[in-house]
Amino acid sequence: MSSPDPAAPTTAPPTGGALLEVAGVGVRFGGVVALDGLTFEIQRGSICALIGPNGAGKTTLFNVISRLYPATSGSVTFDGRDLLKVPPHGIARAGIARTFQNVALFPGLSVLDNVRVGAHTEGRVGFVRGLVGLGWPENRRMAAESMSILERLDLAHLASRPAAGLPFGTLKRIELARALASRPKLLMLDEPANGLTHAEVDELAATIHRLRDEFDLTVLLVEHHMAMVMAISDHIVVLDFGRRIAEGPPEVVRNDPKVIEAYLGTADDGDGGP
Amino acid sequence: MDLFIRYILIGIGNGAVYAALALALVLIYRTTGLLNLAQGEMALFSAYLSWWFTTHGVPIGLAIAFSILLSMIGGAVIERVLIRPVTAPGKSHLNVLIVMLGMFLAINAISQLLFSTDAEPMPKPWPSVSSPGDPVGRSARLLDIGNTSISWAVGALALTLIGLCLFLYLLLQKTKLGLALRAVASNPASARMVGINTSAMLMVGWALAAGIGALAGSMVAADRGSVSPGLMTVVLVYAFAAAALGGFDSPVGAVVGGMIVAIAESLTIGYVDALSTIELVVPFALILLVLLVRPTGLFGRRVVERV
Repeated sequence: MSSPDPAAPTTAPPTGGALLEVAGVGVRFGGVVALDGLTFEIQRGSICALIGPNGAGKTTLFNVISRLYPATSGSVTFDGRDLLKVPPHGIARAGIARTFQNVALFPGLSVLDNVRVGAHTEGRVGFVRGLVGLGWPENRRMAAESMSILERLDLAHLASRPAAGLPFGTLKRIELARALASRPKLLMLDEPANGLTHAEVDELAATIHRLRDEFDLTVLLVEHHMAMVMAISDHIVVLDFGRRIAEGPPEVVRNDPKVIEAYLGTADDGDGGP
Repeated sequence: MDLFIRYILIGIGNGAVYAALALALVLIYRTTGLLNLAQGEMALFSAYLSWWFTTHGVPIGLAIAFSILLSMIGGAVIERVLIRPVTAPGKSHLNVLIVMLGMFLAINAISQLLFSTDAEPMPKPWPSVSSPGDPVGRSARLLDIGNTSISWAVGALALTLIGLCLFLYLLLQKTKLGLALRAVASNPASARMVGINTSAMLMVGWALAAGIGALAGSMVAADRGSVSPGLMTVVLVYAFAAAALGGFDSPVGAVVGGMIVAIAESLTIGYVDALSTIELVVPFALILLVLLVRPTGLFGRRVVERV
């Protein structure tokens, strides 16, 4: 892919090339340190992967960025704004959308409605106008746009089906569609390949690349599927026990001894090898 | 046969009111997971409010409209001021139960304090027997079918319910606000994630329920011809039975449930003399039966949780 020209955007990025800056973020649950002074940044238009063993704090960081958990210390700056001052329901409007590890859709709503909800922050139809029906053209436009996103993710044929009862891989695509419907700047994917078949994972990697270009996204993903991470990431941040232990492009991270150690354990861990 | 049809018609008239109040219960249950014990007394207050407007020269139709508007504001305020502080995550469900019991008593007492402790005559927003110049009550009839006639009262109550259902359908299915309300009902955490102001939606839910309750309360009062402090207590029991029968999370269930409960009521007290003085047995028996046989109600969804 052609690397995005950093000087191209007319709206000058307020803080250089970084869309998201995580600085010294710490999270404690009682005595447990989930994140410990984590610092890294994500460049605009890049695909950044967050990897590390289970319990390293990856999902915790996601929850801090989406304001589900409070940060005990540090700061998160998104697009020049202090993200930790934004209320949880303001995150989508700020330009961040995410998917969840276990899929958090609205089971009772149709697939199309699930995606339309994602576009919720897009238009502004107030209570009274919505009640009186003046929001009609707006609603129609939102529905059309949601439909076109469904088409791009090959879900259009399911639009009127309730989300409940569809296969897991399909639900993950619906959740992705919902995230895209809010027209985010930053798309956060929590283990998008989890539970998918081998073929689906290959397709997912291509889809993420394609969507990044089509929707002008910056992507942050948490993923255990190493082949996919190495294939699609521009930048990888490795966490272990809430700390950043390595960072860099895939080829650098892959050969970092600290990363190998975190994943495979040291020899005296008694791995029980041959 | 005529008698049977007459009982059915009485049932439909009452059923419209039970269904409307059950709808109010369902709306709050769906958005907050709470059973609003004070729903009936909130409706009583609104009915008194309608009556109060009519005593100041406001025509009954307009009086009910004013009452609905003010009740919606009141409902939103109640959610914000009384309910939200005791329903924060991690707090016991018992807290909100106590608050609702308190509201039940307080709103009834406030109604009596502000308005009247007696039964007050409530004008009807439809033609009735007592209209001047029509002593035989011909104008009270909407439609004649053989020997029985559908009265304006039954017609007006049924039409009100139909209008209410249509309004709710359009609101919930066709507007963005409705989509947001359904999303909050389906999954509050995800709703917040996609940028829905869930706490505002809770207020909207309560406002809608209070408005519907105001309509139901005013219609009951008009149908009975008077508004008195005990007006809604019994109606609420029937509405609970209707909601339980239909399934607490289903608006369609509330309407069907309301009709079934009311028709069962009018048939049993019509045909079974022994029950005519203890007619409350009917809704209680229905509630018990539903809870034993099909706890999710006729239209309710079984909640399946992923763990």
